[in-house]
Amino acid sequence: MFRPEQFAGYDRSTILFSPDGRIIQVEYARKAMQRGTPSIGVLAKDGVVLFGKRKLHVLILPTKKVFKIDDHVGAVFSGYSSDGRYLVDFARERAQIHKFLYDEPIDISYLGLQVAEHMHAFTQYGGARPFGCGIIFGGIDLSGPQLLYVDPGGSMMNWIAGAIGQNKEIVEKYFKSLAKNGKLEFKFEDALLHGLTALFLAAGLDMKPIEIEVGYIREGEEFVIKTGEDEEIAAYLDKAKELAKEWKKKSEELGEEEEGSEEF
Amino acid sequence: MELRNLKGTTTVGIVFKDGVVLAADKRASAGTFIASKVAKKIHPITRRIVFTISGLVADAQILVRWMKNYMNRLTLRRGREPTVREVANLVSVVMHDYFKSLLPFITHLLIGGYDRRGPHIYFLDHAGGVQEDKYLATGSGSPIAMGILESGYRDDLAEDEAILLALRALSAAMKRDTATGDGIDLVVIKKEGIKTFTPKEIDELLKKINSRSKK
Repeated sequence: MFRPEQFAGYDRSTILFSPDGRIIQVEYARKAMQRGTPSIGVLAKDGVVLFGKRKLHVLILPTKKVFKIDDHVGAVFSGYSSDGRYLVDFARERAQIHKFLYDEPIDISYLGLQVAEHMHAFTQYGGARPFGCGIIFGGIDLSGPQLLYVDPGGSMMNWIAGAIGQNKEIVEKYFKSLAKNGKLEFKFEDALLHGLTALFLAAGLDMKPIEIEVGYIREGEEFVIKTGEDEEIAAYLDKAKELAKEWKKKSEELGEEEEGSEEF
Repeated sequence: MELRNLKGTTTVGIVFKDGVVLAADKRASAGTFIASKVAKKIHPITRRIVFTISGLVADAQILVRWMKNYMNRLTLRRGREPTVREVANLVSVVMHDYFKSLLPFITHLLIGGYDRRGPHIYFLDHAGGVQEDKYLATGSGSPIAMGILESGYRDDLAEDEAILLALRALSAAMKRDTATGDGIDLVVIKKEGIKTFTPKEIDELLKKINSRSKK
C-alpha cells in the first residue's frame, strides 16, 4: 500500500486540511527530511558548529553536506538534496541582497525568516509541493552566535543543539542527557566534541573520517568547512568515538522503558 | 554641484563620545521669498535615527515617509532596530536608482543616530553618494557652517561642547546665508533615544554663545 486508508484522500494536496486539522503532505515532507543523512547543529557561547554525514561508497566520491551561505553563516540540510541545494542558493541570494541594500551582513534570524517564508509559500498553494528537506543555519551576527532550524512546513526554531535526518532521536536523547539542571551550554571545543559524538551515534561507529563534514564559525572569524580528515577535526575523532561507545553502552544498560518517543 | 546652490537651508551634525548632535534652521525659501519660517527639517525615522533634510521639500518629505514606514516594518521583521549604516545605504540605493532613471530626489540629507556600534552620521547627496564623517553640514549655508566646524571640532568633544559647536556653526550660517534663518531646531541622540530641545532651551544656549563672542 502506498497510501494509508485512513487519510481518505486528504493527503493528496497541500491546500486541503484533513478533518483533524492536519496538512498531511507537509507531514510526508517531514518524513522525506527524516530519511536523509544526519545533520546536526550545536550552539556554543563563542561559536556555532554544523555537522553532516556525507554519502560515500565505492562508486561515488563523497557528497557535499555543509554549505557556506556568507562569510558569517553556513547551513546544513537533510532530505532531498536537490530541494536543499535550491534553498542554499536562495539563502545565498538573500544574504547578498541584504549586503547590497544595507551594507551589513544579514542577521541569522532574518535569513531564516526569509527562507521560512519561502518554504511556507509552498504549503499554501494548489499544485505546489512542499520542500522535502529541512535546513539548519549556523552563524554569528550582531547579537552573537545563532543556530536556527527551518522545517519543511516553514516554521523555525532557535536551537541550542539538535538534529534532523536519520536517527535524529538518538542525537536528541544524547544532547538531553548532557543537560545540567535543565540547561545546556557549550564552549566551542565541547560543541565540536559532543557534536561529533552525536554524529557517531546517528551514523554508526564505523563512520570513516572522510564521511564527516563540519562547518564552524568562531567569534571574530569566518565560517569554514572541514572534513574529518583535516587535523582540526581529526584530533577530536578518537575521543568522540569513545564517548559515543560509552554513552551507547550506558543507555542500553538503563534500558529503553524510561521514555517514549517525544515529539521535538 | 549646481544643485547644491539651489538649496536654502543649513543643517549640521557632529559626533561626540557617546552620541550625536544634529541641528537645522527653520527657513524654507522659494527664490527670494521666504515660504516658511517654521519648517521642520529634522525628522525621526526610528527610535534612535533621524534625518535632516535640505533641498526640494516635497522630495525630502516623501523620502522621510517611505523610510519611516519601511524601517518600522523592518524593525518588526528582524526583531532589532536598524543601524545608521543600514539606513544610509538603503536610502543611497533608492536615491541612486532615481538618479539613474533621470528623476532624482533633489535633496541632500544627514542621517544621524545611535546604534550598537555607537554614534554615527552620514551625508547623502542627490545621486546616492554616501559618506560617513565625524562632522558634516548640508544646504546652501554649509560652506559657512563647515568653516566653524572645521576649526572647532576635536575628537574628544563632550556633549555640551558639541551642542555649542553645532549652534555656533548654524548661527554663523544664519548670519551670512540669506536662505538660512528663522530659528534653530536641535536634537541629541544617545543610547537612551532622541532628545529634542525646546525653543527655550535653545535660546539659553544661544545666549551663552553670544556672551562668549562679545568677550
